[in-house]
Amino acid sequence: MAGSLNRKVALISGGKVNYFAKANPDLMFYEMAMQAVKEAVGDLGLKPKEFRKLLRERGGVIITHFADHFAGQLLGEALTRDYLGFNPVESYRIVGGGATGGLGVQAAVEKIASGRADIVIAVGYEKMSEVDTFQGNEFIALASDTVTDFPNGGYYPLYYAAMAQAYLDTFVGKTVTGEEIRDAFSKIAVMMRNNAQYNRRAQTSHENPYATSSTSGFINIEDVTRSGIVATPSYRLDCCLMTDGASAIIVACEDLARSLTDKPVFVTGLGNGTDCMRTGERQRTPGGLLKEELMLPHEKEDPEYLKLYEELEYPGLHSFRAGRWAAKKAYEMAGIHKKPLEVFDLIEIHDAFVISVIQTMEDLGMVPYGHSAKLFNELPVENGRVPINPKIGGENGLYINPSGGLIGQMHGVGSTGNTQAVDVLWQMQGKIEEKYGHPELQVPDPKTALFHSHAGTGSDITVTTVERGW
Amino acid sequence: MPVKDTILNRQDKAYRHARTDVVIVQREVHIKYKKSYGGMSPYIRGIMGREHARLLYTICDKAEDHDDLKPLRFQVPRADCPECYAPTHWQELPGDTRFIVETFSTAVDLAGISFMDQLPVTVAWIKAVLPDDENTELDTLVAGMVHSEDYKKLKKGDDVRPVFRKNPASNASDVMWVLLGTAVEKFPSGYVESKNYRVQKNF
Repeated sequence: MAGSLNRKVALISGGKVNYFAKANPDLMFYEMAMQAVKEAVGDLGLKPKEFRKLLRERGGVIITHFADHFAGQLLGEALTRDYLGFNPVESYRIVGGGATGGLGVQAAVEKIASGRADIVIAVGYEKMSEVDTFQGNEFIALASDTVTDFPNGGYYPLYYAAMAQAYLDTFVGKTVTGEEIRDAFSKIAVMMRNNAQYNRRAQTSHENPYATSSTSGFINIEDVTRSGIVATPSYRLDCCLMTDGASAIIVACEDLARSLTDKPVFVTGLGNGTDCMRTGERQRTPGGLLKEELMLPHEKEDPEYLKLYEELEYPGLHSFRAGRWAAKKAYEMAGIHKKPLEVFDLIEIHDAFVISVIQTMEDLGMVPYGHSAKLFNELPVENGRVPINPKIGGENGLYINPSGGLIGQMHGVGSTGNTQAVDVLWQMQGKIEEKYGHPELQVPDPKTALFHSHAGTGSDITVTTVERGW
Repeated sequence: MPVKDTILNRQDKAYRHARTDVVIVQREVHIKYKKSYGGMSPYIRGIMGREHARLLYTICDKAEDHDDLKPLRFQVPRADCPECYAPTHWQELPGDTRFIVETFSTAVDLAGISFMDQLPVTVAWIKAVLPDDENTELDTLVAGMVHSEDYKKLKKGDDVRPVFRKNPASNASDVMWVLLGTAVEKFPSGYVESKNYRVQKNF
């Protein structure tokens, strides 16, 4: 049946590069991948020879990386699988901008659900430091239309900043004030960055030997607006990182998963939505959420939502229709009808910029459109900082990006969505103290979770929901 | 694709992060593309017209085959309709079309390498409103660079006007935008007014 998995699929083991870094000249891209794969395989108690035998008999390989430009290497996925000893197992690359990692994990799940394989390893990597930052910005901007948009100031932080401006122009004075939004932006930036200080592999962790003093360590609220405007209205510390990094996740069918781990995490829902790459071509339809039947089940039952959404021009440049579509499809597959804020214990979302967190919480239906800031405004501030790994949304709320996300932990594009799947898996398996080196970021007893991956200015977005399998 | 490798000086900042004795080279790659604008070529030709430049869009009027049963107007133009797959038709935006800022941002501190020496760079997403009885809006916004005396004063809803490169580069930046009423001496360097779109005219 369309919109369902033909059999159960579990995430069973994950691994990451030893340290995410702004620049790690010690490792080539496939050597970073080796560190991640070695950890994922080793955690299953398998020798590499045993794992490779499983792959040969019952498995497949997905490799994800974003831009050939960064490493100056076409078909890098072939070099990666060669280096990892995976030949001649079936293997291919999945790519979709910033959602590359998330799409790769979903492809691995689908490969098993279809019966084509019983075990798949999805490996993601990106090595962004071999060009300087300005060149890297330009490569990323090549993921806008190079005919029409790129020649006009092509720069992704500007694209997102323009969306932030659109969000302000749409909702300020209606659901929120400008001060409340700026307050929420700064709290989000501090939350991500300071969470990462308890994740020893994070690029901004003060414990990471590859971190530089100017780009690591704790920050305070006032540091954010002191960091300087990058593109109006966004500050430097509102923005994500650029990273050298890799990660790997192993997924399996139920019987094999249970034979390899006593803590399988089952996939319950997959969603993947799209929208125009040129943001100017996105619809601006009054009542668009209703007309396109994009409301979520819990929203339909609430007259306040209906009133708000009848007038809202959607998606405009303020929201991601692709994210809403992905969430709706994932929730339908998972049978989620209640308020998502109260369903999930933990989410890892694509915080490319602080505005994306605000937008994504609404796309995911955590709060009504225009209302995300309040979730973060409620966070207490002590000595200029919000609490480490705070629960968001009150007693029945959830944890957002304990890992530090793209702002604090890493954004090595082809690896990012994969890394966040690993973070969720480790949370569910109770491995955070072991893997991060600190217990503070462990979410207490998580049973359901979501990870989200996002490309461009919202051109391709994935949502994957999972539940504990023991 | 000429590729040139040279050993990198160990004083280069790329070595600062290394914790092992790696060898790093500087690799230079030079690529030339011959890029066709295909079916969009009339639009590019239009904005290359200097003082006679024209802004073209395409329309598909097969309303009955569209999701919302309306004609669709595209700028950025497209040769084929994405909803009914019929070929579109070219139209010219009249001189008294209103161009209105829908959203914008100004890159102040960082940018891609092509724009680093031009900061601050403002990019706006601009809505075109036709001078017909219904004030029909094009269905898409066009992104373009806005040159203004003070980017901090720019706001949603501002009226802007197109200006065109005197020596066209044959790309989408051959059109830039200035606020309605901007004096000629305040135009971006190298850009001129088109006879077809007066900057001073009031609407």
